[in-house]
Amino acid sequence: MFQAQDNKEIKRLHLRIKFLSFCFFLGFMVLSAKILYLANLSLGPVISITESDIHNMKRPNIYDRNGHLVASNIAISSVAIRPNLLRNKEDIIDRLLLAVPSFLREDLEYKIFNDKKFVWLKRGITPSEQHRIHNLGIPGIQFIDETKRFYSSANTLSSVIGYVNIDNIGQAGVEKFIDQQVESGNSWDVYLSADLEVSHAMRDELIKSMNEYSSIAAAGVLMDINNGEVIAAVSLPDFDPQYHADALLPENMNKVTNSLYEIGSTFKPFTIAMALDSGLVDLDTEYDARKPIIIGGHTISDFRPQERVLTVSEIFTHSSNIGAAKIALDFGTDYHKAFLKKLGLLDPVSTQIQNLPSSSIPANWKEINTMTISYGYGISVTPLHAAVAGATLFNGGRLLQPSFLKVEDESNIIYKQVLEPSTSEKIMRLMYMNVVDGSAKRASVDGIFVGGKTGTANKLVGAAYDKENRRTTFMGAFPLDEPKYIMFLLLDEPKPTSDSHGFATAGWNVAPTFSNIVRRIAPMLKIKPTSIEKLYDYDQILVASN
Amino acid sequence: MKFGRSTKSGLSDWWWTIDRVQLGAIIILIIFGIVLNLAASPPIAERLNYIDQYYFVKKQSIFIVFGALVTIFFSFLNLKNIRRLCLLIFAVSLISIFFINIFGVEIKGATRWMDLGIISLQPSEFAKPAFIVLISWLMSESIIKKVPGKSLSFILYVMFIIGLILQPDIGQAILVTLSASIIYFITGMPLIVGVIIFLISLTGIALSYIYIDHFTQRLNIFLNPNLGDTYQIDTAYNAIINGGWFGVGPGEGTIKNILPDAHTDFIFAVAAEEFGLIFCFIIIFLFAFIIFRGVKRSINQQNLFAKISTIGLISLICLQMGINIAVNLGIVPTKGMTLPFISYGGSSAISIAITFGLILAFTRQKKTNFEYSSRKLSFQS
Repeated sequence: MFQAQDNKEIKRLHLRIKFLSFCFFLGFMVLSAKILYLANLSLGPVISITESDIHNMKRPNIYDRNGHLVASNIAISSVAIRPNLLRNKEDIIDRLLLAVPSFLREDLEYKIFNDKKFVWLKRGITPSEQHRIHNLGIPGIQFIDETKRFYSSANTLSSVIGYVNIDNIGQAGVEKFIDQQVESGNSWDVYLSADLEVSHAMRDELIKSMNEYSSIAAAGVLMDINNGEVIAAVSLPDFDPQYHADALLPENMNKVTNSLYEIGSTFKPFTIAMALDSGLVDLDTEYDARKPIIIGGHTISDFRPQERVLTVSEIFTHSSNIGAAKIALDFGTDYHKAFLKKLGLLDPVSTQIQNLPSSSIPANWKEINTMTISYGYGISVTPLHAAVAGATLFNGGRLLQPSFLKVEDESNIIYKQVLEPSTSEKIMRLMYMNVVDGSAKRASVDGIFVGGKTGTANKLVGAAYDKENRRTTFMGAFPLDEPKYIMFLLLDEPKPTSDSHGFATAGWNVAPTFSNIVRRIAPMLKIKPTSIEKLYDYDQILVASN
Repeated sequence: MKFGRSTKSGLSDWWWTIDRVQLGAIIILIIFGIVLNLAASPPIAERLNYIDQYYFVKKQSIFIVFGALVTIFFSFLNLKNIRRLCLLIFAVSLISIFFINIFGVEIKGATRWMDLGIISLQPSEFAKPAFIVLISWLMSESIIKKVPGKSLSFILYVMFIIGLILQPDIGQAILVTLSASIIYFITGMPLIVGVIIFLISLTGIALSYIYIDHFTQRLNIFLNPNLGDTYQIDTAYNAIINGGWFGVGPGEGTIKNILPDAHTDFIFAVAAEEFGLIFCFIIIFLFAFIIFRGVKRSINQQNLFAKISTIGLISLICLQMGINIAVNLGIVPTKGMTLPFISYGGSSAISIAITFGLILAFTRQKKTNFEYSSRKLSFQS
């Protein structure tokens, strides 16, 4: 076919084809090299994920601080239908009812008799149900694999973990926090600051107390005063996160972080701390508490009037409203307000699980408000507020940010020095004395130094305070020789019992509850019982300091 | 019916002259394609709310079976008929391309599809192999008979490229330009002309960058991933890494569920996730085998037209495969380029079928007869 003169052309053609093949070969090498490179990569940060993908994604497991699994994922199947593609709908309903008798006919009719493109028939069916529905062979029925959150701790940690909705999207607590983290591209195992065992003991004791004193609700929070970890947070009545609809019932609201309470005399330590911290007042400074204060039609009187001049120590241990009011009055409204703000009692506390509500304070903060607030009326805070501010009274005056997640790196704790360490020391002594020989005697625990302050607040019913309707609170810390934990407890509407001689004040219900809880959880928290000698020494120090 | 080497029936002639190894490789590729479609397309069907999650699998199987028939049909053709048929296909496609620029269906920012009721066709896909054959013929004629093949083929090229740019389909335009350049290169184009074409192409890309929105976006994002939505390429990347060497197992892939275009442009990533990078190497090796075998057969081929056409068509396949895999591996920016015979797509599958059919037809070797007779001759002498 070719002439001889074409041979040169053909040679060049073949040469160029060979060159081209070499280029192709190089191309293949580039592709192979990139594959080798990719094969040695591990999966990097997860790609940005949209809301709908969270639904398909596995949520991280949640563990308590000791590594007990408390929330995990299980694979389930859900069944959906496409009504627009179904024929013979009556027949399909009959067959579905035969296959799964637990379906309701009305529900099926409602879901099937329309022209929608997609309707969930049931989320989370059992394998045998799936098998039976599958065997019906109805086109337009579809099974979708989903993951469902499983909470092995049931109610115990509900106020910390929160819950997810049916689409696996976090609605409250740490679950909601996880979703925010996932959106920012992180994914990891979550370790709570909460201790499952301690939480269980605390919840158990609070339930006992609620029943014993016929209360309608209770709350308790235990916080590490050195790093802000919330070791237990109990809000009763509570819910099982598995049944997330229960979480929405008003009585199941998270009382630790969301409910505002007037906490009564438990607020007095803050007033006295203000006085001591100023340096102008000491424990032996005297205030006249002989007569009730009458101001603007209100009378401020004491629950157990001493009718004498009281030292600051005595104002604390006798829980004198008159004394506290006079102290606050001495410092004035602005100073008082600024001090409470410094302790974080007027602002929302920010935590991982959500921003706490702002405290409820008087719109127009007058002298009368300053006086009532000095003993815990007229200001409403959450139990977590009280615990965070209370921690400053035991830890040398450091205001910490509470954490619902385990603090891995203690060196990075951010705090604000809000009190002189000496003020904290003095308040701690008062708290101890109050347990040894004050309103909180029933809070004492054998072998463990504890200190605390009781509070009883009449509930505001309508516009007036109801004398027969109370909230009792207790703020205490232990072990006082090496202060580590603060606990704040609250009982809503406790009633007198046969043992309490008709009293339903804090010393009779919430103080013994504190004692019971500490007795149970101290071994779990590895707190060693203190020797008698040491107790004796501590008493000597207190006597000497007075 | 006799089926011996010496019988002159069309079928036996075909069977003994066709490159049977190449045919086997193509069949393996087709099987890979069906298996990978089973992996990649059900999540897409689900996402698009098709009641039948195997909708795309079934449709693609029909395309593939039809495609196999097309391949066989084209491999039967002789050179004369190939020329005629390619001229016809190219003419019809080119007219259609200009026609759909006015009446076509716009999908993802480009007008490429012609809606025929039952199926949508993409004429530019069919024009590609026909175009390669036509310019190969013109170039071979220009070598043998010194007809003005160069200028004629260049006119064809310009017409085709204008059609593609109007759609706009820059990916195809680049592919066609590269394939045409390869043909010009092997048929003895002076290197200086190559440099000029290269510069013109650069200008073309620059102009596309300035004037064609979705092209601009894609290139911007490739050059600067922080700039915009790299969701698709990131997802593909993660799918590949998730698979590792051995893959997560058939049907076990999870990232494919959120990977857009998993069944078309990004099927390679799905293959990587489920079957592993070892399998990816096998796919690449299979393509390499088909390509280098084609090159080898082309060098042995006596007919100049067949030789050049084979190289052109092989280049088309090689470039298309190379660009698709390179996109999946994140080497080049996202381009709407299918993986030959593996990606879902009717027009693409048929176009590839035509290409392979033509390659088989061009690489038929009548070596046996020739050698036999030459040996006989040598005996005689």
